Amino acid sequence: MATTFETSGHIDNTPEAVIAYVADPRNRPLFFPSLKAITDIQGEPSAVGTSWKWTFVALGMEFRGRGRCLSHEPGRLYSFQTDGGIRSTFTYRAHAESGGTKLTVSLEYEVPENAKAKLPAGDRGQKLREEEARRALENLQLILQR
Amino acid sequence: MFPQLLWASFAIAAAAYLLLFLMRVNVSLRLVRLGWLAEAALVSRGLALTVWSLANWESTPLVACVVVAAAAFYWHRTWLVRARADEFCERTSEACRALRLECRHQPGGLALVERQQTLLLGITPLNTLLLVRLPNPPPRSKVALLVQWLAKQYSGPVPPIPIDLSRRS
Repeated sequence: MATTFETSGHIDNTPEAVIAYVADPRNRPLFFPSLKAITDIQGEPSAVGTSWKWTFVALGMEFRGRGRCLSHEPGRLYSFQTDGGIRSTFTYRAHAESGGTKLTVSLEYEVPENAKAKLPAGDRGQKLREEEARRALENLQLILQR
Repeated sequence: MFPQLLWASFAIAAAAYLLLFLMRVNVSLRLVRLGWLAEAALVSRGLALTVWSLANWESTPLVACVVVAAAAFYWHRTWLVRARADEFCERTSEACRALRLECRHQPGGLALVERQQTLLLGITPLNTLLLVRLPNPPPRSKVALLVQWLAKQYSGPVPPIPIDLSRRS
């Protein structure tokens, strides 16, 4: 069963700048606390269909998989999916708000049975993933403020 | 027998840590980790004092552990990195650009400018190693994000357990 989580915050920059920043996978290790690296980008970095390898580090373990851009509407929306063990979809939606941007990050993920033994499960796992998304948003606020 | 075993096991752990560091690239040796090991050895020996009193020969490992623990405390922001200086500076400069953080090359390292404050990321090449002195940034700052990024890119020498989630168990 898929779990969903959503968080949002105000960023002091234009929706175009915010979506352009999150759409470039090379920027992601700088604002996602546990994401170590994005490598092997196949295609134009922020284009729909572009894929990449990701390396995530947590609890002394290094998880690897592939990601793929699902949709990109400059200044409005960017969404990508991670394939492999954890199927997750991240969606960033930007709306102009008070001279800046309201950025909403939605995360939908599913941990399949064969990966449950390797990952923090239950409430603890959910809290870890939600905390990661919250901190990523806080870091984006810091990086993108004018 | 116990004290010999205790000191030997901590010495082997420290040697393995150093050996792993010398065998791998793009990793960092953080004195603070050796400091924890030295402190663990001192605490373990302290707890065992009720059963085994100190022998004369134990003054050497005791002093060594105290020195390492004190050095780790004093140089807790200093890393030895197994990387090429030009590559390290280039990657760090790229990360600064992505963080929109002003970064200037200067003798002795990179000057990081944020909110009218300049912090120095000290970089000293030592043959095949780099001596990196991290700045002490405010917790909610771009320099703090840069330090977190460096910690991920140049992690400790103990290899993490790789898990490919696309494979079936």
